[in-house]
Amino acid sequence: MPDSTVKTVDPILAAVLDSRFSAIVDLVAGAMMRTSMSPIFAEARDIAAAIFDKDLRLIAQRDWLPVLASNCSVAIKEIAEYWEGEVEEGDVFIHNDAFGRNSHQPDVNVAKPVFHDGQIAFWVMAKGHHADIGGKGICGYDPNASTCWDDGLVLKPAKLYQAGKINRSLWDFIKSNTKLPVLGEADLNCQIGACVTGERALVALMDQYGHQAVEASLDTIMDATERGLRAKISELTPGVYYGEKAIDDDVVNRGIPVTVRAKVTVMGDGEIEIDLSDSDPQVPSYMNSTWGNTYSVSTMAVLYFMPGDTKRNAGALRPIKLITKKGTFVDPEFPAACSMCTCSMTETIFEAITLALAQTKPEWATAAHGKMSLHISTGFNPNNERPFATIDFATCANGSGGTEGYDGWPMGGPTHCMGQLRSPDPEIMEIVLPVIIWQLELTGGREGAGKYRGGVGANYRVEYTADATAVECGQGHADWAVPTGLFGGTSPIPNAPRVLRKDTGERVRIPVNTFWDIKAGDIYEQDMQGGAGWGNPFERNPESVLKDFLDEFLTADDARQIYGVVIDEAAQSIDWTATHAARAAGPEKGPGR
Amino acid sequence: MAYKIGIDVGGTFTDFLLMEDDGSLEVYKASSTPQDPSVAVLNGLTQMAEARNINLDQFLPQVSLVAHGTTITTNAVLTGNVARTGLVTTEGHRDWLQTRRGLKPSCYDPKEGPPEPLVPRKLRRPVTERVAHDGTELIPLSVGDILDAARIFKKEGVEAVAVCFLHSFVNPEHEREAKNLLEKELPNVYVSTSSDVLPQVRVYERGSTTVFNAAVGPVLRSYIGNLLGKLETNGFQGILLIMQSNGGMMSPQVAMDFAVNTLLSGPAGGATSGVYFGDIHDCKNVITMDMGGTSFDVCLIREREPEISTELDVALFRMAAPSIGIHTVGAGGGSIAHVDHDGMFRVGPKSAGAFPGPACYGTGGTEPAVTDADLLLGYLDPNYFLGGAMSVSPELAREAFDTHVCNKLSLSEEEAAWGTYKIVNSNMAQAVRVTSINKGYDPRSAFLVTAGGAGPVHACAIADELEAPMILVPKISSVFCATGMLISDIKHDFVRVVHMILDPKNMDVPAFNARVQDMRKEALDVLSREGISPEKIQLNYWADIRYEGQFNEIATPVPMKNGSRFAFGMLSQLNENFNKRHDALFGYSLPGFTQELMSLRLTAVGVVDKPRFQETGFMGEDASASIKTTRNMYWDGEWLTTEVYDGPSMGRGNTLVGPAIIEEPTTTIVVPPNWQVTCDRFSNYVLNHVGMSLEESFARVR
Repeated sequence: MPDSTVKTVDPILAAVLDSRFSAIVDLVAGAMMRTSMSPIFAEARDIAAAIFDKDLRLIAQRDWLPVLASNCSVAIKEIAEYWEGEVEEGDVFIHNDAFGRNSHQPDVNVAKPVFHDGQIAFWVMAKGHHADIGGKGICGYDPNASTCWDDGLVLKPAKLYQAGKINRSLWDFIKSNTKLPVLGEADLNCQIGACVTGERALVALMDQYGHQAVEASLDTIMDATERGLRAKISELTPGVYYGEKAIDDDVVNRGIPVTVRAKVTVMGDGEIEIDLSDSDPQVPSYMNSTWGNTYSVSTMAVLYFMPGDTKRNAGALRPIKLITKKGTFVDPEFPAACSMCTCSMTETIFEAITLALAQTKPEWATAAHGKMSLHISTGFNPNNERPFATIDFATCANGSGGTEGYDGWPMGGPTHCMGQLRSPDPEIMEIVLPVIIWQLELTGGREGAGKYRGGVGANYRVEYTADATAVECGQGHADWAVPTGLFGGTSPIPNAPRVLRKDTGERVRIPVNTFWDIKAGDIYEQDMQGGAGWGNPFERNPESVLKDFLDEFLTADDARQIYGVVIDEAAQSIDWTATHAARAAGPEKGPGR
Repeated sequence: MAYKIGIDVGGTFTDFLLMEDDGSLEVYKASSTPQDPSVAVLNGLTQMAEARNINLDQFLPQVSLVAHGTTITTNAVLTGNVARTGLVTTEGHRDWLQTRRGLKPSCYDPKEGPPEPLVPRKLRRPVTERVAHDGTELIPLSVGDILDAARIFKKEGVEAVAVCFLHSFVNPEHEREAKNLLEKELPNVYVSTSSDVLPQVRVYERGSTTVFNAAVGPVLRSYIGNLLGKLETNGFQGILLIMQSNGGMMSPQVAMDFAVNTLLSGPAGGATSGVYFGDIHDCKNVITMDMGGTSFDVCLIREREPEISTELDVALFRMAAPSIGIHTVGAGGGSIAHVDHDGMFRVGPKSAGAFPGPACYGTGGTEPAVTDADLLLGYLDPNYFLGGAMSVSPELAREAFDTHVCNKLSLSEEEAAWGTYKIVNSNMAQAVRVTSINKGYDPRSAFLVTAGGAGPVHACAIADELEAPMILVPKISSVFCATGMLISDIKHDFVRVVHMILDPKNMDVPAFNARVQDMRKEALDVLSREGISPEKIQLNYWADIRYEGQFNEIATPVPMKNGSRFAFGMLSQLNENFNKRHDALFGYSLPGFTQELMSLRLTAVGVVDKPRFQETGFMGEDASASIKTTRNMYWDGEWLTTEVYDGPSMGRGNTLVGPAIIEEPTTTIVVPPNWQVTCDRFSNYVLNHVGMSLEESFARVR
């Protein structure tokens, strides 16, 4: 290769390698998705991949589950620092310790150092949500948990392979302490295979360009991202901004909000400091966010706010500073339970930070996505004569929030998914689980209204053909926890999951953050929350209102009341004279419903 | 005389390759006529007649074959000019088309709106019916709901209807019933069912493909009807074949029912063409690279079989029917070099396109494009652009680089242009890697075949990046795809859901063979309707296998030929094939772990008589008679005095050593210092490294 040229014109090799690294994390994540035996990995993509340099700086990540991906940059440090000086070629590490900079315990990290000429050159990480990691919960979710041991098995960074040789006792220990060892083993296999796939590609890259040339380009790549992000931050008016958001309750003390308080300081030098110290104390349930998860969410909130699809590498992380206080529910003391950190707590921390940032530049802000109430179940499937445990990702079919110029996406998913989680295919689910999915389709009218409205949520009805145990986990059922509309936009209506009992024919509200029983023939129902709206609904383009009416997302009555648009139903068109009059008169009872 | 004609209807030009009985070739070109593409086809055919001093109706009776690829359905989708389409689907599942499984392309960019589906919501009609996952009927089809839907479709002027019910790939009865009712209620409306188009699991993927089929069906039907009418009026009695996305041809009758299979009709010809050029040199593994103005298309061919993909997105919606795995990236002559907001030097994907075009065209473009870089580096002759049909301005190119790149990065003009060349080459090399290494195949042992106007300018540099040892540039580079059409066989893909465990205890060989026979019968029926005699039929079987419990399968070849049956003794080889492929792709395998067969696929090929291209006469090794001038070209930090060869006067046997430039009317071949060229027996240009004999280089790619 003409190495001399690339050294003299450095920006060129940097551009070349930057796209190569993106392609390599795709390979790593793809190997997990394509070969897992768990629908959590294979269908929903509740997984992430990342690669790092020898100094553990993030080079690239694949955000199939964004909140997992943004945790990788700190989880890798826990692993490498724990084993500093003892890392050997052929090692494969496993780690899930929530108090060791991981997100929550079901998210298992598998990492492999990549050696070149006897030295560590890179690290590859494959992360994913295991179907079971021990504990009393289903798929890791136990609303009664009060400690991390209730949440599941705790694995400090450990060698699953040492110098190429399998650590059979650790492998067997994990299998014998989890409820679905076949799935767990399969997930580990595909995570290791994913790391090997990444290793092969990185070694090929170094063979081609030379280790040093590759390494020399990393600063250029990261510095460019940092420069770009700082330039965007510099467009904001420096100052201190506050935002806060509460969860429904802490599960134990029902009906009492617990609040995340964000103090966001925009510095003059293109930095942002997020201080969450004033948040409420830690809670006695799984509604705590580990530091590793809080860090992940904080970076997500800042990067999502900034225009463009900012690259996620170490350069993007440098301008973002996080301050937390030990003992708060966004940085709890060991051994708190914290399984809900990647869901409800992510939504809440993200929204508190966004509400602060929104004051700096309204046109950049996105109103919050629909809050998730997650249905999870376990039982025995008579169709294939196997036990099952499943996170029903159909209940992530929330609408996303509106932002200036754009309505939220229908089924864009909640905050921690950001349109990257793949909604389950009903046919596949009926093949692998004892269910019949009677409905999974969009139903308008529940999303937040606005000049740019929230994305429409889906209605979901699933019948079980076998008995099962379920747990409903999440937030957004109380008025204070639903997504907040921005700048005159309104909130969606609260979550209200329910079950239609076969024996009594009654529809019963499912209490949230509680285990409950399913009998064959029962139908679980949820109208997934839409996103919140952005801007005054009376300023919404009447043509967009008409389109929602024609799409059967909006009734003519709502069009008039919420948006001040009068639709001639017979002609299927806008009555402009009446619309101008309605809009001039203003909303009857304030905007919204 | 019996002429054979390959026609590639492209966006700008319609290319024709005419072959006479003796295998000699003529190239024709007509401006495309998007309003009615058959006009351009007839214009081209008229040119051929005129060249023979006869009328069209005297010429056409002598034509035995018209093999035809078209972008008509692709363009219809991209421009939204499709039929007004309705969708009938299972009650409770109205929106899978719109929600696209919830995926948003850019994770961190909120300023991105969801794409509009081809079928608006009010034309997506849910009907009462339900089939369970095992095919049993849970709720009968409501005739009343179908009639209601038909009424709405009639009122809304719907021209095509897609029918997609849950689990129809297991039990298609409800879809068939609905189709019959709809066809009765809506005469002249094109009705398409998902169990016909793509009987496989996953409702969005199957349904979206069916919606595409319905939406482009009427468009293709009226085009083919129109074209056939015009041809027959003028005395055509030969065979018309249409190129499919899977790289094979089909009869117009089949094409009208499976219009979605023409979505990649144009570029698919290039893949077949790649097989042909590989065959000339006995190379079974080929990578084709086609670089035009805005895009770079790559296709991997292994063991003479183009890679097939079922994960293509067209305008963000899934098209899951098997298609040639053409990987396209936004890299072409028009790709714009720029410094992004992070201060990084980038090339593309934004393109100057044909208008305003690269800065050097002087047609209003001010940003520097790849063509501008090629010009400044001396690769292109400002006075021999498109064979002299157009003149371009190096001054404007220089100005564009100064303003947009040089000032921002403190680079000289040469460095900026060379940087542009390097970056775009690297992006293209990356696209080649995605199609090869990522699929477990090493490009260092592939024969590169490159075409398109800009391809040969960049081919050696791309090959260097990939460490690929050999390149072929076809003499008739501009009609690369049309060549493929002329030599393509008829090809159909079939799939059957077959579920069984692949171990000695559980494998149900009779059931396996029953499905094989079932598919085989259907394949033979279709091919015989297309006039293919039994001895011309080749059948290849694939098994979609996974480890028990996995969610995705790997297509694994079944060691079984035409009519033969699967024998028990083949099982261990099948297991082993799968393990090897799994490791190569995903970094691990699980030998001994239960393997699960999910479906069987059959690729049925009806071999058509291949035209024989005529070999050209030996012209001696010495090519110096073709040197027309010298000019300076920039390579790797220095300006080299370079001889410029007149391509049309070169032929079989000619050799030359780089640095050199060969100018053909529609392309330019840049030969860097470490490369040499030999013209093969058809006068195609074969390039390999200096210091290697042709045989040594071929040994690495055979």
